[in-house]
Amino acid sequence: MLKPNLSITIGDVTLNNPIITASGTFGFGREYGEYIDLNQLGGIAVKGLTLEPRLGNKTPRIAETPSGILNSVGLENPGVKAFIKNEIPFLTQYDSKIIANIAGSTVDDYLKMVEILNDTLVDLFEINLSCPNVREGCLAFGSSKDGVYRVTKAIKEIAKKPIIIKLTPNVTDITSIALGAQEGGADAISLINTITGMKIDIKTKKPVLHNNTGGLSGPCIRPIAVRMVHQVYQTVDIPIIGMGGITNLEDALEFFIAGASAVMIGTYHFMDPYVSEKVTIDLLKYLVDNNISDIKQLIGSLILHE
Amino acid sequence: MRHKLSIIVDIVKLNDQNIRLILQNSDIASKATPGQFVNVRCCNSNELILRRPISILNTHEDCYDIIYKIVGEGTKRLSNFKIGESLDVLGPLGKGFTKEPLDKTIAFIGGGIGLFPLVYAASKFKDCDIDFFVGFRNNDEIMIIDEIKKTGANVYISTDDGSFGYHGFITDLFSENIKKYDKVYICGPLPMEKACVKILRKHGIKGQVSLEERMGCGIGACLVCACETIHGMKHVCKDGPVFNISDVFLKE
Repeated sequence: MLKPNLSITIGDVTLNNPIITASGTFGFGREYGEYIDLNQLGGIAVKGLTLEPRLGNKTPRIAETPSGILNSVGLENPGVKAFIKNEIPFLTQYDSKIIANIAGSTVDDYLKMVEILNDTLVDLFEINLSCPNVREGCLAFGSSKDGVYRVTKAIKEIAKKPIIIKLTPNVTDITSIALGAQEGGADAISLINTITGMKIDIKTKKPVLHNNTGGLSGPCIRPIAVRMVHQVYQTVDIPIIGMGGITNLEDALEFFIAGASAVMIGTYHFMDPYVSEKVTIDLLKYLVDNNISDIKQLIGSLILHE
Repeated sequence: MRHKLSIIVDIVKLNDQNIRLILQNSDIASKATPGQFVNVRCCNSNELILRRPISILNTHEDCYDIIYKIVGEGTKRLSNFKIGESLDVLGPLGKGFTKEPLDKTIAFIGGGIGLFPLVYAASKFKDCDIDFFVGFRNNDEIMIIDEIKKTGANVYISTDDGSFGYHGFITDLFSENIKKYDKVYICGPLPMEKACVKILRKHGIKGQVSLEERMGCGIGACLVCACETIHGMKHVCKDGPVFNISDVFLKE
């Protein structure tokens, strides 16, 4: 049989395959370029960017939990201008699409960043409405349908690239939030960001993280993420990028079956820097072995119990 | 291209808590420099999804040694591996200790398990007059002193409780002749490191310090092991763990 079609399209941008590295876990790609061929990836979602550079939170910023981690980096990043100058030239060497993840404290912050990035070689915008580790903005927008709708609509009006709205799972009804994104004109939705959590050192009676709370990620959140992708798939018509604790092909397949058009791999890079390349190779093999000519045949192929 | 696994050639129990592994991996052994570390997968299940960063003690032919202390679940599981089995180890990682040709009289100051990367440096820094100061909490914790002596260094030992060597902190011992040193290298608990750096700064002596911070990826991508330096925010796993003392501990 012919080589199966792995490509997926978001807005007017086509990714060679549906495996993307998740923002915040993959830096700007450089570090992992020493381990894998970055050309193998469908896309690279870069570390969350803000208008001005941010130092992030105090350490400790990470704590290990059962099958997961809590982090409270707090959006440490060099700022959008340094990203354009220092990182985009590196990333454009590769076939992988560049996904600029942006976070703001106000709607105006998001709009300014989109304006600055509009005329760069970035391929897609991922609008971070869900960072749990910064005090203002961001998550506040992502917690209500109206907030998501307003930010999405304002950005969509000026964005020259497709926009992906990244949702937080820390909400009562993920489907209404997803509808807010779709009604605002989002080209895709990515979910889930981390789940707010806390780990306590019983000797000191203090939280392990200096920020007290952090975002939980890793295999422990995967069932929640799969459930939310399933719910959102039943609600919206735009493509969904699923993520949460993917460690191998089998995990990724769950997301495709639940309704994800693409997946992001994040935390597991810390254990296995080769994981995203490996899942890409394994996915192709899986499609060949199972006589599936196009990844789209898998998407949303879930068979629910009666 | 995936990395080669490291084969466990030997396991040596140093005392109740510390275990030495002799690991065979020519890639790591040939590239390692003193002060660098490896990131070790401690179990094959995904219940623990962070590797454990452990400093390299030395290299010999196609092998390298590490010593780890059993402190939590990860290191406990690591202690279940047997001779002949393979470990998934990434490395060598980070930036290690450096020496200028003019640094002739040097001191190493190690505290507890922080002494291991210093032993590696002492064995590599040839043509130097080396004083090696090492502090332990008590007699039971004293390890690998013979190996330090083999490097030709003069060894000075202190214990917090006086059960061996000088009774008190290692900072008291090394500060006696401090002015003779061209450079001082430090690795140990944070309070000890800060105390040493304070003394060195007072006397205007150059030095390098190996920092510890909770890590995620170990290669500079996740940004959890942040450290403020005079050159801005840096990360212990990639920009360190070794830093010039003039660059760090800004608020002291």
